[in-house]
Amino acid sequence: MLNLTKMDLHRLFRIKSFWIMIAVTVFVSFFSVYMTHYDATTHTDTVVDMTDMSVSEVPPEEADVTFGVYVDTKSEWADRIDFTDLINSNIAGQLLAILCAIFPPIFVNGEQKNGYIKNIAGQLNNRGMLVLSKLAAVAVQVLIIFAMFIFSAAVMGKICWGDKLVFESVSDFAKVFGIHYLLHFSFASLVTALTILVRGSGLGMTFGILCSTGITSLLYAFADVLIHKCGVSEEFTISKYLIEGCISIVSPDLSGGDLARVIAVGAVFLVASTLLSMTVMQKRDIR
Amino acid sequence: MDYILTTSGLTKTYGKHNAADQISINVRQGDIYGLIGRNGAGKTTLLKMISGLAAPSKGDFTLFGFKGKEKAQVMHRIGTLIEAPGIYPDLSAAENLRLKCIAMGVRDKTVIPKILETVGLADTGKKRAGKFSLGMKQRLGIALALIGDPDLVILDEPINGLDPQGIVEIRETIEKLNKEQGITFIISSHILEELAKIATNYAIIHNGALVQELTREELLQKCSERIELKTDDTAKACTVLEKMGIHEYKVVDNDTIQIFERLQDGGDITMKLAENGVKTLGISVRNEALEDYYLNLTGGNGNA
Repeated sequence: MLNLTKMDLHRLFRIKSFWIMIAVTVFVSFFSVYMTHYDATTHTDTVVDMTDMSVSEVPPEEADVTFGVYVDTKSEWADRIDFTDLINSNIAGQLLAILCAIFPPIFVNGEQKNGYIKNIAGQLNNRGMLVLSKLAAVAVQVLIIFAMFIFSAAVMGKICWGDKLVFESVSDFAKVFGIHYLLHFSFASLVTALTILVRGSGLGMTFGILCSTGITSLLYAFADVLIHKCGVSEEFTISKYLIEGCISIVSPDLSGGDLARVIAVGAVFLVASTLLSMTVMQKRDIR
Repeated sequence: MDYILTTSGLTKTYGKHNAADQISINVRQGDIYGLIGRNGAGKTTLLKMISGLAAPSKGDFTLFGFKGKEKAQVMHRIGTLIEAPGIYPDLSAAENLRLKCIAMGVRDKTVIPKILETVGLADTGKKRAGKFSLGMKQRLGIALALIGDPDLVILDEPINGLDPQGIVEIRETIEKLNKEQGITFIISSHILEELAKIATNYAIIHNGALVQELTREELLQKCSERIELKTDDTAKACTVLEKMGIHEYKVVDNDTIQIFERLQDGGDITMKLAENGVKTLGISVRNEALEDYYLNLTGGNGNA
């Protein structure tokens, strides 16, 4: 297991897509933070729509179903902004979820696509170890995405806000970072499971992008209607129990039942998708 | 006899189709074991099962004396090149080998240069494997199979698509590894003449089933040039042949004897038989090519 993890990490830092991922993350971070600053200083209580690069006056919570990547912006951020709020509003807008839907499948599918897996899979006692080593590398990949995004956001934030960008609480930052990391790693592992299941990155990637851009919310809205017709409370909404739904509600103020639910959703999806991937890898023949 | 690999009724079923059907073969230490069969005969399926890449639907195999779940502990002693070489095209040959070294826990830094030297890729430097010729990719595939010091190397169609020079290079590499390092090889191919140049044992597979398993000597005997003598009294004819000092012969049936020596002495043999009152019904020199032998066995004109 340790050797396989070392192999996957060795490979991670030597593939082209890794460096593309870093470049894209830095660009997205710069662009998003710049747009947040622009929006905070020129408009009031708006959201930045990263999908069509336009500014929407309708906050997502006021619409029934919303598509695209939205970053909440507050008017008071023009005068002073906490770095944790800046990072959280951008990550909660599903920016990094999209990156987690694209780059982990490329990495995970590489071994299957070029057939390298045939060189090693037969010699393992348990092929499920191949999944665990991949997920360890994906965990590092997600960590690097976060690190690059946060570092770039700090740089762009300093350029845009100067001394108005403050860092108020280490514990708030650690909380937001920890919860988002769990949810994004869980999201990446779900996309990875789909990649392993269909032996290709296309489905996982598409599913991940549809989820993170809110297009699947149409399905969730339909599912909610059916569930409510079955007598379940109108307060129930399925998106509260899905990763992308949880990502969008994370904030430094999250506590109590909501915090427990968000952590539970992340953990359950992570464990379930890992078990699914391991079972598929162990039981299925290698092509 | 000690076999390092014995398969027992290995069967792989896809839907209702048996891609490999009750295949039982035996491979000894030091063999270069050739699997002959046309495309789609079931060679790759059999090799995948032996390599641990596919689970048998029925049957089992014994590997280095271990069978069932116990053989998992010796699977690392196998090196494989199944179908096309699995390589990262953006990495160099050495980087591709390094990945497998890490996965197999091989820490000796001299292993990679040694293996690259063995397969003739020592001068490739930082050139990306994706830019390699087909022959170089095949050799890199073999190099990957050699990581971890395997005792058994399984090569599926290693000369497929190679030019004559590439075929010679692969053949020489395999012979060298077999002789110098004692590595046992199982090699599949549908190019019979090439396989015949290096294999010590053969299994002929057709439509998923094992048609025949034979040694190199047995195959050469079946395919070698010989006098085919038809006579009315084979017993007496054998006595005459012995008196003539001919000992390499075989009685095939009631009226046919195959003689494998003194092929130019057909006239003398006929005269001696006549002198001893044995009637010659027919005499001819025959030579069955390996391909003809295969086609006769499998009853077709496939591409093997």
